Amino acid sequence: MRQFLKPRTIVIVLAVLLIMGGSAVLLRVPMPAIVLPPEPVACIGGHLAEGPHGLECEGGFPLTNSMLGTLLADISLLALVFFGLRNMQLVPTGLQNLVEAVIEAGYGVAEDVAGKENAPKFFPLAMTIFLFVLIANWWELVPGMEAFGWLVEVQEKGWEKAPLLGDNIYMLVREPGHYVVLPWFRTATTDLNLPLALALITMVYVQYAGFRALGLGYLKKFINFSSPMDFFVGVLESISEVAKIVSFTFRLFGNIFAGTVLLFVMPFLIPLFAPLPFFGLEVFVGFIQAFIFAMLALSFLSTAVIAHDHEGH
Amino acid sequence: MAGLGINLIYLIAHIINFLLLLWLLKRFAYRPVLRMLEERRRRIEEGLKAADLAREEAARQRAELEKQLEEERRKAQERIAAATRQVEELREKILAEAREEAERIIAEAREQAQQERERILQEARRQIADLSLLLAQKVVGESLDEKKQHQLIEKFLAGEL
Repeated sequence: MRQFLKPRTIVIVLAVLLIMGGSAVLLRVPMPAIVLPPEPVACIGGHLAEGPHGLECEGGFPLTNSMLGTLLADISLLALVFFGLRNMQLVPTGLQNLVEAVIEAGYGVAEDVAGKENAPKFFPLAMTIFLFVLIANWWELVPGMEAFGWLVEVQEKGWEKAPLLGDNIYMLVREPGHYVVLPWFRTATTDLNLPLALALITMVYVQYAGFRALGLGYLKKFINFSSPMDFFVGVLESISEVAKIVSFTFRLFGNIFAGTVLLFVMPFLIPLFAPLPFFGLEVFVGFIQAFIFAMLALSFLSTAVIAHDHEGH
Repeated sequence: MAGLGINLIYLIAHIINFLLLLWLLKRFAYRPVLRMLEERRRRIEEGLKAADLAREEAARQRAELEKQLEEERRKAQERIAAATRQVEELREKILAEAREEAERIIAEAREQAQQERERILQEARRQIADLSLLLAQKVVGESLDEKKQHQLIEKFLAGEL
């Protein structure tokens, strides 16, 4: 305690507090508009137009900001793999080491969870989920990720615009007004469609793996007339398969969406220093959510291929 | 559902994107990396095995060399012993020969001396006989014929008189 109360420490703490307070007053950051659905930012083969729920794509394929975020994650992941494995050596160096270490560690986990014979089958899906979700989540932490976009006019809860560069580039200032930014890029996992897509793929693959391993006997897990008790358990199992999709989806979406909101709100309140711990927290949350999703997928897959007989009853 | 942003087109787009990514990673990342890991594991195993083998071989060769060395040493020892024995024998032989030679020379000398003595004795006897004959002639004054004289002397010397 004595050491902590050295004059120098006190001065540093005071300076940090001062900078934080000063930044809250001087650097007035506007709050981004928090929107749940992904928004189209471009339209392939059609054109963007004002609709009842903001911009909409008319007569074409909509490209949403979360899709662009997904592409960022795809490209960065594939680039990592490409540059890491472009010239594979028996004695690995640098990036190849990293990529190999990650894949080897993932394969080790897959072997632990699914066993030696099932690991090669289940590993690619689980590993891809982990890597893709991890990279997508961590794009949330890149400064400016959701800061650039189209300027959109709104009726209420907007900010005032101020010219930044030239005639067509503006920035928002913290004055009540009628503009918000429609970001070009959005953290992919904050779009419900992505976690839902992953959950659907996983659960469909779980059923496929179950049928493949057990044949029609897999259905006994859900439809079983041997006793009223088993029948009831079967009904519960069926419901739980649907519930798994929902829990998969909302666990990932909820955590990362809440994280982005947190990272919006903190700079809005105190722009300097205060958001730092939350960035650290989000690094952790992004990893944990990717890991949980992949681990649950693995464990669901490995339980699906085990026969549910009456041995234990 | 629309309020949450769930949209069939977006959903399908994400599914396609993910499946594509899954395929790409499986094809270009997992398969080569796992193969490489397996290859590396195999190489390391081979290397370790080869090192073990080499070590064993070296130990075996060393043991063999030591055995050979021991054999050589034993042979050399034997050879030295044989040579020593030979030298000893030679020495004995030479010594024995020398002794024999010496004895022979001594024997010869002794024989010569004996002969010489005999001869001298003979000579002396004859001279004594001549002298005594001469003396006897002088004393007796008569001279026996020489032949008779010699017979007498011979008899005398033989101890018959």
